[in-house]
Amino acid sequence: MNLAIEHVTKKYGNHHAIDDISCEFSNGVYGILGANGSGKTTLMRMLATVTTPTAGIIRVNGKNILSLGDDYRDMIGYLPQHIGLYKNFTADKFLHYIAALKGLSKKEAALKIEELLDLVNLMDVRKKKVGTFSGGMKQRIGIAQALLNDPKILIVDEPTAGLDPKERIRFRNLLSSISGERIVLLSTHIVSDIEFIAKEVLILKNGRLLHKRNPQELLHEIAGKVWLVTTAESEIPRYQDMFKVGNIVRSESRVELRIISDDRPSLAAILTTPNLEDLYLYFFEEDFDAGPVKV
Amino acid sequence: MIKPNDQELEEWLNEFTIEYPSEEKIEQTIAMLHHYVPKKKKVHLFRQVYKELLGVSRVFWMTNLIYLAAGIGFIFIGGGNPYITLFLLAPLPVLISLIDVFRGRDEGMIELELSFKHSPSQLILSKLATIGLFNLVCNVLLIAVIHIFTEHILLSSLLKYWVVPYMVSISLCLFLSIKFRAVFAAPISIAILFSLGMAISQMAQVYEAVPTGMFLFLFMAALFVLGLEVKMIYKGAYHEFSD
Ligand SMILES: Nc1ncnc2c1ncn2[C@@H]1O[C@H](COP(=O)(O)OP(=O)(O)O)[C@@H](O)[C@H]1O
Ligand SMILES: [Mg+2]
Repeated sequence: MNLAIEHVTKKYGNHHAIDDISCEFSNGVYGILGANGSGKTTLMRMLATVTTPTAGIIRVNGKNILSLGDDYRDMIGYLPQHIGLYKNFTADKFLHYIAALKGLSKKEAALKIEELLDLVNLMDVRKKKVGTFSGGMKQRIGIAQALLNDPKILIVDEPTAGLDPKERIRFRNLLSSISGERIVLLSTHIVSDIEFIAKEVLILKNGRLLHKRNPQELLHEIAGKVWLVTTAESEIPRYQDMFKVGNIVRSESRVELRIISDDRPSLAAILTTPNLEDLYLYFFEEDFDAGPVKV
Repeated sequence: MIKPNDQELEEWLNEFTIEYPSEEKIEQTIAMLHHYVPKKKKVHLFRQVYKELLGVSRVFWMTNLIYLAAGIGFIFIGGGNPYITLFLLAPLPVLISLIDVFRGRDEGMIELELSFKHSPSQLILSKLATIGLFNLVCNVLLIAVIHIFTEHILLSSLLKYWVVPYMVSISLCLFLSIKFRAVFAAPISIAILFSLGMAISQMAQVYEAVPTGMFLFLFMAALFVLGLEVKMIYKGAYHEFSD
């Protein structure tokens, strides 16, 4: 399975929600990382054929997805950022209904639903109305519906937003377990969602694709730019004015700041190993203007 | 170094080189084999919709049954005017079923449905077709029963009391459903239909005096609007993602 995005642009009025993106995907999990408004949802909507590119082509195994039509949609599973559910349907009925829309026969559907309810751990609430479900349960039935047709391409848009940490971990494990022979595209603005399961991370900013690499390579990008500085509590605002400050660890009278900077932020600063959180800060936290600083 | 013996052997072996098949040949073979791969059975959309209507929307079948029962009851037991009965009752099953047709959209499911094999436009249109056809059969049945067991029905009256109100109310309701929510469109259309029906039953002479040509025109206009609506649905005018 090969999915290729070729010079895809999506404009809303004069605004470029997606600006000339090209990249390719093969089987595996891809994390799409970007701040709010960076174009993640727009990109995924185009991949799900919910909306069409203003320019450019998306191909699957060399064929334009728009000319494949039904045949393409038959091979995708999509979990929108904001999923609507038939509130008065039970989980069981909801999945049967969607299975029908996806073109599964009744027999196929019954088997698949059984399997999926088990996978997403909703077996004991299958007769409950989805309107009564918690956020995490809704996401899990959302992923179940996406998997009904055994999609070769799975598109999930910020699936962990609004989940508590435990639910988030469970969801991540679930995704990881189903990522076998398919392309999984997962968007998020939470780094830990993809840190360990993504084969490659795409960094999206203002509709542009900044990077598409495996996490290790990306971390290499900021090697030598992450520092630990131990200082006094009162110094924090000064550092925050001048640098991108990540984690702050307090211990007794001192604080340890994690700072992302091209140059050594202070004489006492020591280099440390970058993680994806740092990477995110490096790319997305820029509401300050730090020139070269001498301390 | 290759010893003479080995060299001979190599030369001898070289005569047996097997040519790698050309790209074209491989493609051909694959194409040929494709015929033997069992095809995934394609479930036809109409059958799917039919099954779905059967399973999910009991509303639709119930309203039609009630319509037939009520129609026959009013006319044969209650002694009601068959024309007014047709006027008031005939559009109801379709009007009420529209709520179900647009339910996916009204519950915020369109974004998801757009990613499904059967697009919501296909689905809405095939549901409309199924509903329309089945309801038409019910209507013809009722009219035949009236025709056989009571008075002979005039074609021109049928136009005035059945075809035109039926078409106009449905095309109005469909338009409102496309633009707004079907849960509001259906009651509004039914209210309008009933007010008109009541008014007309009070002033039958006035309504009778309207020339048939006028109704033909209304019929054509409603047909045209229905055509437009089908096009609107096809193009996805009923959801906000159409761009
Ligand atoms: N339907 C739309 N109409 C107009 N602008 C839109 C629409 N959808 C998205 N946008 C704009 O496109 C940009 C990218 O949005 P989105 O893809 O939702 O980003 P993300 O999912 O990363 O938060 C934003 O600036 C947003 O305002
Ligand atoms: Mg989004």
